[in-house]
Amino acid sequence: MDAQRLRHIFDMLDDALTEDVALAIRGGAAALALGLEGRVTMDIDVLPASRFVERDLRRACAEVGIGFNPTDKETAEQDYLEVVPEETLILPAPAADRPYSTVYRGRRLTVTTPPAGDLLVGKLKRLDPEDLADVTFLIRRFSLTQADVEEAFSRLSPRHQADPVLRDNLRYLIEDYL
Amino acid sequence: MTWDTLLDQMTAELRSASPRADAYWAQQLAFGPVLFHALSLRVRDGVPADDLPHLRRVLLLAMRGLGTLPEAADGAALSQLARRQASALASGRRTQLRRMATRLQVDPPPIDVVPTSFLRAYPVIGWKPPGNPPPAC
Repeated sequence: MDAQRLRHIFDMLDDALTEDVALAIRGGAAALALGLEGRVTMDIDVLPASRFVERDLRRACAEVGIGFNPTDKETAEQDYLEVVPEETLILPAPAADRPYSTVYRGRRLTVTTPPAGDLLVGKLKRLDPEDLADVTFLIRRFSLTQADVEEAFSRLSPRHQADPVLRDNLRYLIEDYL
Repeated sequence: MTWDTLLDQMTAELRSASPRADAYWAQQLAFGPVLFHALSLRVRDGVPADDLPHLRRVLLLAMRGLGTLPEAADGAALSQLARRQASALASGRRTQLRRMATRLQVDPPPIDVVPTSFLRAYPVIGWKPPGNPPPAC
C-alpha cells in the first residue's frame, strides 16, 4: 500500500467498525500517515496499547479485504494489520510532554502515531535500508536533533538501553544522519 | 531479491565497466530513496578492497550529479530552483556567464560537470529491489 491506499483502508475500516477503535501505529505505515511519499509497505503495525475489540476489528478487516495478524507474513499477498506482540516491542515509554500525533480521525476509528523521535528509536534494532530511509524522512520532516533522539532513547526500558545493537545503531545514526 | 543482492549486482556491474554502469548507479545513489541506505549499511560493515575504487568513483559521480544547490529543508523552493536551473542550463547560460566573467576579468569558479552519459535519466529503484514484493516494516 502507499499513502493513498492507507487512507482508503482507514476510511473503509471506519465504515465497517461497529465499536469505537483507537489504533496507535508505527513503522512504515506510520511514516506513510505522516506524509512520506513514494513509500510502500504491506503491513500496518498496531501497538499493543491500542484500544479495540479484537472480534470487531478482525471482522472489519475481513470486510474491507485486508488481513489481520496473518500467520505467515512472508507469503502474505494482501495488505494486513498486525498487532505488535508486547514482548517484541521496542518503543520509548510515552511522555506527557510528547503526545502522540493523530493521523486519522473517523466516526469510529482514530489513528495515532508516537512522536517522531520515538518512531525513530523504534527502528534502531533492525535498521535495514528501508528503516534508514524512514529515519531520514523523520529527521527532516520533524527537524529532529541529537538531543531529541537521545531523550527518546532514554525512555526505553533499561534492558533495551543496554542492548548493544541498539546502542551501536544509535551511535551510527547520530554520527551519520544527525 | 534483497538489497544485498542488488548491491552485489551493482558492484559486479561497476567492475565490468559496462556502458551504463557509472551513470545508472550514480543516479540510483543520488536520487533513489533507499539504495543509498543499503550501501551505507554495507560501507559501515566494510567493503572488499577490490570494490573500493568502483564505489569511490560512483559515489563522486553521484555527488556531482546532485549539483551545487544547497541542501535545504524547503523542498518546494528547491524544486522551483531546480526547474529554473534546468531551463538555464539548457539555454547555455553557464557558458554565457563564463564569457562574461572573462570580460569582467574574473576567474569563474571551478565546476565539476558530470559527463554527458549522466544525462540519460534512468528510472530510480524505489522502496523495494526489482522483482520483490513490497517490504514489510
